[in-house]
Amino acid sequence: VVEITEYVRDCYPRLVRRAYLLTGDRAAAEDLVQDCLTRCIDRTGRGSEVANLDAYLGRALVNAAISRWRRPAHTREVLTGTPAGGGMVGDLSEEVVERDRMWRALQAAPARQRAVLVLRYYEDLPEAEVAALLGVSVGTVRSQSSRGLARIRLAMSDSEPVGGRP
Amino acid sequence: MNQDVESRLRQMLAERAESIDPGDLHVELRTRPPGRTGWPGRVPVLVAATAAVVVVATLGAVAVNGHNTPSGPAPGASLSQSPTPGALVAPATQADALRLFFSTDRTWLRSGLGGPSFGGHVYTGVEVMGSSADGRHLYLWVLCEEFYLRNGVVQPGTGVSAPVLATVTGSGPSTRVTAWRMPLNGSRYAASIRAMFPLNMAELAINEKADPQPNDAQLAAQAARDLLGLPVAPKPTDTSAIANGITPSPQPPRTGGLFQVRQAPFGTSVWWVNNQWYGAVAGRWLGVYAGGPRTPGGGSVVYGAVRLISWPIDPNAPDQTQAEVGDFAPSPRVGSLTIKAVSSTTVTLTDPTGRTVSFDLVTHRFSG
Repeated sequence: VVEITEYVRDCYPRLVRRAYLLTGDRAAAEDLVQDCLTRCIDRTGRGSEVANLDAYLGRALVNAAISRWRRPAHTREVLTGTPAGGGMVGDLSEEVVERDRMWRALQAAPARQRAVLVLRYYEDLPEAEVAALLGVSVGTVRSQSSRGLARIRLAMSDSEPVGGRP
Repeated sequence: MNQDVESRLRQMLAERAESIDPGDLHVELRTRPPGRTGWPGRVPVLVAATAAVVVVATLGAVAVNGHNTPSGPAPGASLSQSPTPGALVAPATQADALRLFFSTDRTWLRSGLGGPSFGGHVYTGVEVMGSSADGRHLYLWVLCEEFYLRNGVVQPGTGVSAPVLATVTGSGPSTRVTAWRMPLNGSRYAASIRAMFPLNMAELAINEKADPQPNDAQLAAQAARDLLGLPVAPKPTDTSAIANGITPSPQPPRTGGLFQVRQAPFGTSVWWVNNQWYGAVAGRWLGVYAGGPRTPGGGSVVYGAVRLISWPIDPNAPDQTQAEVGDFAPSPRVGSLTIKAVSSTTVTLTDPTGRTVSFDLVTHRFSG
């Protein structure tokens, strides 16, 4: 427990950020990290050794994020409106709009594809490591990555204004 | 083109990741307190500032007591924990339950449901949403907020705001709350509330249509009074208490000032609040919430803005309806705003890059 406490103090921000990119929602990210940590502590409390905490939690986090989207759709909160805009001034800059499109496209991607993109382009993991982490072949990582990039590219060329979709 | 997409994707992911700041979170591992029941030896993790989610997750490690009556909730759908025996004596009618909550120190809530993680004091608010026909179950919305003092500033600690099912036994003065239940975590949340509460109340709870009293802002104000050594105020007025024939204490004068509190009287999943200021401006009690609108799905702040809401200055005025003055953003855009100081009617705010802007509370215009 002491070891986990120290590890969590050091790595909590990194874990939450990774979970945030995987889920697209800060609260869900914190929830996910919390669940994984509780499971890890529970495991060590039962006497099981966790040889490499970093690898264990990294894999647990990605798997939990993917599993999360297998649950029934009606249990997910989807915001349909934009915040009240009374008194707002000016328009969003083009850059912000484009990044928002990319973010939305990433969130709309299938969970495994999103995980591949996050692990490849945020974590900068080589394809072999991503494959090992997700338990898939390197070929699958390549194809998922390619489809994911195509999705992002399409979103970047999309002319629909931000806020136009639920 | 591919390289360009990859590079922009990298940049977007890095920016998004950096846009959340979990660095100030405090992590504490707790072991089972001696003598507590219903805690099967696990070591839950508490992470402050994730409030309800964390407390629910923590209680998620607690065993199910399966404590039901025929008129009560469905079995196995929610988690429960026995409070300290004898901590609460509760008559089993709704009016009596209200009286109870406005007259006791709510020890069971403070010590069991929303215990402090920063060594601070836990303040509680509650709404009694209803009771079962046999009076054995109380359907509550419970708010527990910890506040503590750091460097002379009142800081929020851990907290929980969630529907709670309290089970009572006995009758009259010997009535006791024997257990409480909270909904399950994450995707099981809504289903477990439907199992705990009658349908109409469940929908209200799922949609967070609850109004615990005192509310967040009142708890923060109370904490500021207590922790900064000001006289302790009586409990605030509650309209449901009045409806049930309970004479409340008059409200104390409102407490103004800058509060490092992120809770607000609106959904912070769509509009993020970094901090807030309260004070009298132009004949109204004004709340200034600094932060900005978030991207859909509770993401990062799109641009910095302030949101103004006002109330009557007199907290005992008959009409306490809040007026939403509006949202105001500087042009050109800046990042998520935080109030740094307020002088007369001018608010000084900064964004994460250090850019400073001023906002006039009377003209509602930005400058600088």
